Amino acid sequence: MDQVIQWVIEGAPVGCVYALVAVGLVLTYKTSGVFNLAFSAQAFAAGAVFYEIVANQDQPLWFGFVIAVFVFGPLFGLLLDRALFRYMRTASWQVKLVTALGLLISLPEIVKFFFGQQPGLAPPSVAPLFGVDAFKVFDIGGYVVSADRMATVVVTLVAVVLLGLMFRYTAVGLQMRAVVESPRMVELAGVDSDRVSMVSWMLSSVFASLAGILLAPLYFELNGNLYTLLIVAAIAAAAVGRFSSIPLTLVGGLLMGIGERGLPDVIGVTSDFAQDLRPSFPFLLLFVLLVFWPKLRESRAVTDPLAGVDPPPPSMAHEYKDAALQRASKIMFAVFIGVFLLVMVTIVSPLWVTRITDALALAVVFLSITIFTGLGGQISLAQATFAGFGGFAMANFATDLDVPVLLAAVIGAVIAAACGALFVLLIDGLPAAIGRLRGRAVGRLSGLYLSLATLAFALMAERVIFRREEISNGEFGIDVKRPDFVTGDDFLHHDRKWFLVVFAIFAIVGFAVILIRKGTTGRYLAALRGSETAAASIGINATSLRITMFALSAGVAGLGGALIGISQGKVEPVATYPALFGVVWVVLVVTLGSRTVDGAVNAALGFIVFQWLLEALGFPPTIAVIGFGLGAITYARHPEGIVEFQTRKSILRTVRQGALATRAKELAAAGTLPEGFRPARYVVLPVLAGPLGYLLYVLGRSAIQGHWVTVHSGTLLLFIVPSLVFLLGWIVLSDHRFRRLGGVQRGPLLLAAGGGAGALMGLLFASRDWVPHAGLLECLLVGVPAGIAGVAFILLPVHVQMIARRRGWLTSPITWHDGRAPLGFVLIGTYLFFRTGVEPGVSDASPIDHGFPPAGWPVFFVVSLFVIVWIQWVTAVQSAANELAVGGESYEPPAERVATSVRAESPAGAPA
Amino acid sequence: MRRIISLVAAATMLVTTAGVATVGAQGNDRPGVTKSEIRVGGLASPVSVLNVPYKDGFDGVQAYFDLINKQGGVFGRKLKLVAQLDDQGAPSGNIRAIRTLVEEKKVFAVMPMMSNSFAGGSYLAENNVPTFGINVDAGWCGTTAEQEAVEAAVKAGDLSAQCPRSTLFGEKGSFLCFTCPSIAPAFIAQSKGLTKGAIFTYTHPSSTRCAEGTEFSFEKYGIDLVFEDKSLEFGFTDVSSDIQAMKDAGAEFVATCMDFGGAFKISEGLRQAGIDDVVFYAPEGYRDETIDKFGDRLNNWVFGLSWWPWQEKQGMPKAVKQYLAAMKKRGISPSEQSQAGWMNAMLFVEGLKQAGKDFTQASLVEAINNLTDWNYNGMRPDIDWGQDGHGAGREACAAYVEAVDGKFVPRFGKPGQPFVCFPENPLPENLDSPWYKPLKPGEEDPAAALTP
Repeated sequence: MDQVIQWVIEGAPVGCVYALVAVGLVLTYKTSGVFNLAFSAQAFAAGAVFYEIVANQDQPLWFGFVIAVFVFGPLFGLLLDRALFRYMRTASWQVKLVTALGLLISLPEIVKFFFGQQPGLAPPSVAPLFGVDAFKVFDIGGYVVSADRMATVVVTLVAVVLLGLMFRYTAVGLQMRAVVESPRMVELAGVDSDRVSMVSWMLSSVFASLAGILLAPLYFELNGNLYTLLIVAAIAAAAVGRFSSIPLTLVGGLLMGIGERGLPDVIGVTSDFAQDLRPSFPFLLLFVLLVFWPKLRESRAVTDPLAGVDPPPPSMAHEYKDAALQRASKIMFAVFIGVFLLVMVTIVSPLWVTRITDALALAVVFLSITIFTGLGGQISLAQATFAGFGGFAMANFATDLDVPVLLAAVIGAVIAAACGALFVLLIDGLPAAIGRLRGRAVGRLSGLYLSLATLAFALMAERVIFRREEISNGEFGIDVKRPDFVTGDDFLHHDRKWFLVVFAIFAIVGFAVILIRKGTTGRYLAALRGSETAAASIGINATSLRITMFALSAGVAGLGGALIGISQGKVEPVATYPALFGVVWVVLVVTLGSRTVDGAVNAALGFIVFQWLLEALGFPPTIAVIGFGLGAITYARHPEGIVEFQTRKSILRTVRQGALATRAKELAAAGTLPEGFRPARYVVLPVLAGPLGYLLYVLGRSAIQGHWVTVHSGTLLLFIVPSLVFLLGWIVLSDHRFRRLGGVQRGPLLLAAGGGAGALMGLLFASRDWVPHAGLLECLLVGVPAGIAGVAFILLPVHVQMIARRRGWLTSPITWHDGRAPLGFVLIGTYLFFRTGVEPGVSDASPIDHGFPPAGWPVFFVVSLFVIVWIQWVTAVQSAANELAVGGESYEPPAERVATSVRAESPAGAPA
Repeated sequence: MRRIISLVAAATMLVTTAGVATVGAQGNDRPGVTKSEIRVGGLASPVSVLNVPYKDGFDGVQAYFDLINKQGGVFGRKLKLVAQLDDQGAPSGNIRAIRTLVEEKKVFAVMPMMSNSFAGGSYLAENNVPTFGINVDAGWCGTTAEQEAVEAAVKAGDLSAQCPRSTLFGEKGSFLCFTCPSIAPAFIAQSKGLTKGAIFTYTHPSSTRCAEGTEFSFEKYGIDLVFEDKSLEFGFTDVSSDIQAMKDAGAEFVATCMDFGGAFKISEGLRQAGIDDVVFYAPEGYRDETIDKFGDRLNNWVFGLSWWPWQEKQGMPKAVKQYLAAMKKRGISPSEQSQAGWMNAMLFVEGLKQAGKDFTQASLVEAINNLTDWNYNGMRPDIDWGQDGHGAGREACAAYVEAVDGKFVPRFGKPGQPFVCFPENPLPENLDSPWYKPLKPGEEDPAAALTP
């Protein structure tokens, strides 16, 4: 009994913190339908604000407490609600989950970006707020408890009592209780549910902030990594309350804390078993609750009742291509692959070959997400874990049993697939069997709860399975050698040989995924995703299909994991397959496109190249995680993925331009082609000539001289300036033409203002000597055109929009949205121009007077991207001008016809 | 059209990139050396699972380079730290960053190399790239198997065993015998009159193997090991059970094989349980920042150092003064990591000077390995790079400081002689007869008699 009391005294404070986060979680889940996995990140952010104010800035404790809890917390909640989640009220659970996951991974990195990477040691306690010394220790009947811990319990009790009073005695509290019970009923009663949602976000953020401040002293440090895992404990606590009952959630939190404290005493403080199990307790509990508590899986995720009749996602982008374009694409693709392979095995450096090989191995893992999410419609957060199963199995077979490593990789994939199948049997089969024994049907775990179960499983596997000596050789890991036939540099560098092997495997898996998507399994999965009941009614066996999907997806992840292990030469329990990587990977793939092989490749290349680019330009690598996380916000607008969306947009433009060219030909034949019609290439080629010519000049000179030549600003300007002058002239002429057609009449003024602003920026750069290698003239030569172009990127499309609207067109050929990307690149370019000049260590990235690449080529890479985006914009604007020229009141844009015909042919729906 | 143009542009970029690296990959024996510069690059883990400010290493290297460049550089060439990469403390990141330094940045040497993962060590050794950094990993010596082989040989009395990676230079030597007996914790406990010890480690191999050395010395020198936990993970959050068990066992002294943050959490756990008289031995964390921040919360903490304590003013070598002045000038709090960077740069410069005007990577390595009594101009006891540097040492010297009421106070040494030394191979039967370094004029070096 004494021991139990001790567990309660020592475990209750941490349990209180779990409860605070869990209560916040339930509040927002029930009032807004968002399962905010980022609550722990919010708690960390508030903890960091408090730490900064009190520990680093030496401000009074009460001041820090008020700012962090009552100012930062509610404001942050308000921001999340107003800027993000209020627009997702009727969105699918996938959208809400992915957005929350994006915040979960990006918020801690944003906080660290501002407050530093090092964990904050000795975080301040709130005990002095009660007039008690933070280090005071109380002896209560022989049980010792510190002021820290006591303060945590007191604050939690006060917070919960206040919450109860608010619920009981205030109007908004009553409304919130009502929304928790039935949001639709409340709306029918005339209550503004948006307002209720907003209040609940602010309130729950206060709870998250409190938790963040109270937890740090209990953990002895403010550490983002620890906070990230706090959410799992909070989810387990919320699960006890079936994600709806706040009192039970509170009890769940306390039980979690006390259980965590008691567990080591039960299983032995330092036993091997304790070593594995201690840190996994919250994950294990959550997993057990989700899987074996039938009532929990019966409480459906909060969704709009009409979600079941949501239109299906748009058709695949390639379905929008006409026959000619499809032929051209196939030829181009074959040529591209041929050139790519040739370049990779001949002149690309071994380091870059390695980077691209790593990306391809990662792309294989990402294809497992394509299967699970793109085809199956579910979200698994355990793909890194299944990759780990494959990787460790491969390593053990290859090293212990001397199985050839590629065969071992296949065996690893099979074992991972078996683990996937076992997993689905565990979460579906076992509860169903238990249910049958008890005479009641148990539903399948799916949607949000399935994702949570995979997260719990992944975190548990990382700690309990992967760290076992027999699996991973403990923390040492296992060294893995590449196949014998790729070692040695006899006819080809060993990195190139390995690249070819990985490329071949990726191609096979990618092709298989396409076949699955187009084949029976893919169609069955699509049917199952739409309606399980309807699918069953046409004879689709959901159980076997689900096992197939889990096994396939896990097997592919396992194969990818094995390839990653072979590429790196070692598999380690924590570093090679971190469970949280699974979250980052899912966010990245679904953001870019989880339905296609392209999406997986783009995600993998983005993962590798973006990190390299940041490193090369001297940015902290964690910015990549921030970018990937915040990128998830776009998922709400483009659930098909950014890449797929952009591809479709590009194809539609190409089709539209084809139609335009045909019409122009007809008009020309009839002798009625308007004077203003200029094919886009007449504009694009002169604009492109400068940068491309300069590149060829440098390459040619370098080839002749046998080494990379130094880049001089004079030569660079000689090439670039004519193109720039042409572009500026074209901008001014286009503005003039659009004004005559009824566009924005203040165009010249706006362009001049842009040029003026650019000149001022140039002056600033020159006067501060921010770019040591460029004088006033160079700064002005960059600043003025950049300013004019920056305005023009938005202005010219707005012209077109205005003219199209005046003509009564339903759609405008382009909109101001098309100017955002080039404008963004102007801003990024300006920043890089600044950064390469001033940052120590990064200044070598400037190509000017530093020699051409290698040192300067990251900047060239960015500039090249800029040129590509720029050219796309020029083409779009010129094409729009041509449409305006040849179109008329009765003109129906070709894209409308294409879209109409596609809509008629495809059940998938209309393009955006 | 646009897609075609995009593809062409991307392909051109790719070819350019490829060509760039191919041209750069053409080998020579002094990459990164121009008429006016010697270019080196380093990597650290600002984002690490440990609370260790590895990135301070960059400041140490840069500060020493500034000093040397102010004096005209080395052979008329300025020293330039051209890259400061972050491997995020991950093996894959470590390998990638190291290959970037060598293959893309074309550095002459890698410096500083400060990370808890040194997976890229084999690549650097195979390519004979001189590498300097802070040694906390077996990778400085060789593969896990090679390190274990050297350790086994040393423990068996074969002091000629040497690590195979002779191009890597850790600031305190490139061989750390993790499982060999560690004198420092037992010596501190004995000096403080404590007899009941506890050991805490992470689950990481470097940490658990370090515990083996502590266990051995506890046993040998009569310290009763009353509690031990090797199951803590990086970032552990709950030590309540451990604290209770320690309390029950009456532990008086705690030796950790952890970073400062880990040890501090245990100390705070004890404080929360009302225990504030346990003495802590911390191998890491001696920096002004910690004492300034935590003050008397560090009372009873003793730090073991392999370098001159900054509070020992009497007889302080000029090199230590220069380092402290340089850090002050840069507005940086002195730390083990920045000092390690400084010492790395010192060794590098000394090696270049010894190698002569026509230095190459190979001649630099050879020159350093010929340094037999290198002590960083007094900053630490001698290292014989032909023996101790890559293998077992003759003597074990350490300086000690104790945190007392918000200040570090040198302990156990003598004024002007902060290093307390014992024979290392084999260990003495008891710890009653240390000698002190640096030696006073006329004193004979007891270690000379120990030379294998």
